[in-house]
Amino acid sequence: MSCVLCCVQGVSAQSTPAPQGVPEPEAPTMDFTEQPRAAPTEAASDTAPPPDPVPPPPPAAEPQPLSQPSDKPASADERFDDDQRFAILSRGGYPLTPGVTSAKYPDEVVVSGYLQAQYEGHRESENGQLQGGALLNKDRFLIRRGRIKVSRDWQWGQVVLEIDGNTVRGPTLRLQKAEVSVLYGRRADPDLPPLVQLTAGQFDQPFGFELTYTSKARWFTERSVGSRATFPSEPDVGVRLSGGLAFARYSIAMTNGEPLDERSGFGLQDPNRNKDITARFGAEAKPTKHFVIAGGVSFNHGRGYHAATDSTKSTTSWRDANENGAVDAGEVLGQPAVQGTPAQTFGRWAMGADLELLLRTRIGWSMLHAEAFAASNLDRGLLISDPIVSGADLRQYGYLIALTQEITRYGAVGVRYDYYNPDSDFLDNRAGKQLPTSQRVQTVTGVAALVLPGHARLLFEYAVTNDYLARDMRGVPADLPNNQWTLRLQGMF
Amino acid sequence: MRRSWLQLTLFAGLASAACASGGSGADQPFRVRGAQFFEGELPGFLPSERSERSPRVTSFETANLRVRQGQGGKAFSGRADGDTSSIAVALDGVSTGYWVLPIGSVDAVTNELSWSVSADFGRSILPGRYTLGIVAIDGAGVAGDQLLQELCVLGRVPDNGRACSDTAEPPNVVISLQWDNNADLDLTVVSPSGARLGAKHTAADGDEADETSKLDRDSNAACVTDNIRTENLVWNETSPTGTHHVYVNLFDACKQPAVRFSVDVYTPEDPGTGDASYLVRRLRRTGELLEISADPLATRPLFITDVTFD
Repeated sequence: MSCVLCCVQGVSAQSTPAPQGVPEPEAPTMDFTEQPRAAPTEAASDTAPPPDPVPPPPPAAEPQPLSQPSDKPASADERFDDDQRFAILSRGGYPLTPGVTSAKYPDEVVVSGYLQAQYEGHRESENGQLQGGALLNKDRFLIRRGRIKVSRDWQWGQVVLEIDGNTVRGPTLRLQKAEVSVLYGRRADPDLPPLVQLTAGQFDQPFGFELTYTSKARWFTERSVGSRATFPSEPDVGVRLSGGLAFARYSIAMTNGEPLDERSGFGLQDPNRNKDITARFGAEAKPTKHFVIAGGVSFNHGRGYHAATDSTKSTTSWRDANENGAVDAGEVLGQPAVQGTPAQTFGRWAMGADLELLLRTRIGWSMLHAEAFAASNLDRGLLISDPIVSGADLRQYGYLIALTQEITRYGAVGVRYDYYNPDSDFLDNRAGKQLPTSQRVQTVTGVAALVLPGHARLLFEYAVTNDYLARDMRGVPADLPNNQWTLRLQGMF
Repeated sequence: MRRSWLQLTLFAGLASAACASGGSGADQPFRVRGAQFFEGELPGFLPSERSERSPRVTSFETANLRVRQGQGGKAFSGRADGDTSSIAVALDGVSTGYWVLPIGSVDAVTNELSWSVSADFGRSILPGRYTLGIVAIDGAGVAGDQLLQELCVLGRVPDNGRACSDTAEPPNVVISLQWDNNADLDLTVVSPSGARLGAKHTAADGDEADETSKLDRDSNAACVTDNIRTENLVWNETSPTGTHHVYVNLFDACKQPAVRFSVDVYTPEDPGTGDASYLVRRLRRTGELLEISADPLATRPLFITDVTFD
């Protein structure tokens, strides 16, 4: 409680000089004890610096105690403190708006982090390898995310550096975030972003809600299939303008358009001159201290890259037409030199909408999240879109609905349904005819968690996937038995 | 009730781990490229119970009915009638299941549907005769009559087709070198007359060539990987006599740190049944060569053994 007071004092000191002779302030009247959940400030620190500790205010800038009458009208920060909706999201561990850098920043370097160690069981796992060397076994222990974040705030700026280590594709240590921001209009409420924040560096792309929601706070182990297909990883390199005013939120980014983990091999680079524009315009309101409603619309527009091919020399090849293992007449074929093909680019876009409802009851926070998108040529992670090869634009769409429910401070359960179609115009060869065929992937994911508030989580998740990645007896695309379960232990500091 | 639900959830998780095997068919010795694998017997009617109804495989074509152990991309093709939706293929006695792939396009001449299969035969398939089964499946998943075709799988040690024929006579002597990775290993045999027999020794090199034996291939020559990793020195028409010195030379390690090999000597044995003889292994020597032993000039090959023929 005292640390909250310190924060308010610090902010007030900058904006509301107190008259001389004002007595020492007493404890604030804010009472968070009614809240069913204590403030796990670590859970919010992925996107916002923790509100405490904060430096002591300058002696000459003591604010009015919030509970005492004053001739001056109450400052904005004091009104926040009177309002019990103050900081309910960050305290509840639901940092809906990324990049929140409130006025309550600590005047020091802040180090935070989390580690997600897990075991995965996949029904389709086998011993062996596919042609090309891909492993068939997916049952394994792994470090999914091990992140250390260092941040430093000033009144007009912020620097964030986050390193991620994982063993998803072997031992990896890489840059996850590297942001430098200048900003104006910090707010006292840790749920509110500044009025304007200009960020350069490597940051999460502002599309929808799921992409920017920190994996540290998310109950489900991974984002939905559609989100991972269109945005294989969250960060990209570029500049971003973001902020909020009252209930409105905005975030507009110009990036290279090749996010981390993109399978083209150009992740975080930029093979074409074009820059992608990604933006989300939304709203976030806290009508009561028990209810939050948020939502937004997003879009992405950019250009994909079809790589060039090298010129070749003349070669010969042998085709064992009669399969006798010997080179016979007519089986040696000449392949003349071929000119390389130039690189090409293609247009791609996505539009989406999201809605989040949060309700706090005696049991704990409930969160209902729904999201939908439509895209063109934007699959960069599952069935890679390349209209130069396919000869036509590839249309994607997907949606999800998820419900999570805290069970007191020490547990949570959740269920999510998501749907993704990577190519709405896919044609399959059936009995000699090309017929329109769905390629949709739909997944129902259930999760149950035990929580050590503010410190650790033990999650068990089971995902039932229904897709068309196999074939049935008739040769028709059918469901591949690839359900998955995950047992994850997450620790954070 | 709550406990039951929890038990059910845990069971589902554990069961999924227990069921995680055999789905892709990647461990099968007989594989069909681009096809879906199913465990179980090949569906459809055996020839003895032919129903003569659709769907049916109406034709079968292949370059020949022989395949080598480890051969990849063996092509089979044919046609099926218009009710066919997919083709299932299995190699009897080898597969624990069968492979399914969609039927292809319409044949412009016959107006039937065409199909083609590219099959891989693993090294673990023993030489001998096998039955390839092919069956057409209609849109309701009902299989028709099986088409059965006998295939001969030839071994890595040449036996003139004896594995598939009771009358074919095998070679008089075979000295076989096999190894375990993509290194370029060479078999060299020095005859009593001093002739050096092997891939890197020919009359053109000034070596005294022995016209009575023949090396079947120079495997992984110059590190061009062929995955065969076998070289056989074969005496077909004549029989060697006297003591022969057997050497192995590591021509190029091809970036392998070491290579393990075996040298086997085969000669025929009469089965006493009136059938032709068959090859029997009389001697085996194994060894290992390190990368540092690579010797492109073959000035100091590794001596393996002496073999004396009567």
